[in-house]
Amino acid sequence: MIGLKGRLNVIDNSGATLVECIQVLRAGSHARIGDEIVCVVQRSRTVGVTQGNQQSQQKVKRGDVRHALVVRTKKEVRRPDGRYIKFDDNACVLINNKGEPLGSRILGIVGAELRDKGKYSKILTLAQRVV
Amino acid sequence: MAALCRSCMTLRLTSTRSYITRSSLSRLTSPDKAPARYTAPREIPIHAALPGPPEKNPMPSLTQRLMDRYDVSGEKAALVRRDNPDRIRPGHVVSVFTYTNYPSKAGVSVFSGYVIGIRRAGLETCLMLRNQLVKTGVELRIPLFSPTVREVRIIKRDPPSRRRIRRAKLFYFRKPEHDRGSVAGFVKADEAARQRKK
Repeated sequence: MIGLKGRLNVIDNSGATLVECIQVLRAGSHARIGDEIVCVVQRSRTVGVTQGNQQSQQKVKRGDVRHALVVRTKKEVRRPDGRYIKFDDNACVLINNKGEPLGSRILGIVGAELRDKGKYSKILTLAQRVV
Repeated sequence: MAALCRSCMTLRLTSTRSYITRSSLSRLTSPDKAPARYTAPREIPIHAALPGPPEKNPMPSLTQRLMDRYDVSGEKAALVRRDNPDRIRPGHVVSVFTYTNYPSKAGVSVFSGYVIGIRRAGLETCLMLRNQLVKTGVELRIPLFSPTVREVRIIKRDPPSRRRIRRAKLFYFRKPEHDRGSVAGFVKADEAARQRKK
């Protein structure tokens, strides 16, 4: 259940580490696993030695406004067979308007609710584990 | 009310109402007969009472019927029956095998974890399992009698003696200082032991 001001860990390598939700792109309720949100980057990984090399430039910095996909929530989510799953933290993956991830790797587990949405196949394949 | 003036045979209205009703007219025209008022019919049919529900509380018999359907062998019920010494207890490590595409029995997925609670609610009895996957805690609440649950296997029973479980619900496992971590080691050891037995 992610709403305005909700904070999520970012589990891809886009550069951001913590984002704050400013808008839930789902009519009239909080974001669950598989919902998109608009968020502001609160903390990002320090680049270290800047090298002007394209590959070492990180894609997002603190203060950037981006879209993200919620992949884990602390609030339990019901599955059609009556099971409930919940994770120890709230996590997301930064995406672009088409639903493609900004990063190239996803570190950690994502919820299997992403499979039902249909357009996040790339994220599902990148994830280390789908639970 | 209207009154007939017998002397002049005119209708004299004696009431504040300025109209003549059917009953008042009939009273005038036939004053000796009984007034034509509505009377209830003599026979009022009284119907026999409908049969009520067969039992006052249908839940126990419904639960029993569903239990007979979903737990034919009685194995699942034995896992949580309180008088069974080999029942699942909080703190045990358990693997739950579920059909991924029920009703097809083809794909089976496994979730293992510590039992941090058993919610006993008849047919809706749930096991609460907790595990660490890739350093993230995952909790799963599984309805034991669901037909999608194929098997519940106890991987490890007794914790080390210095860590005896003294609670029914082990939600304190969520705190980092009490978190037992991943059960992957126990599952692997159990799998190896099963392979050796074969």
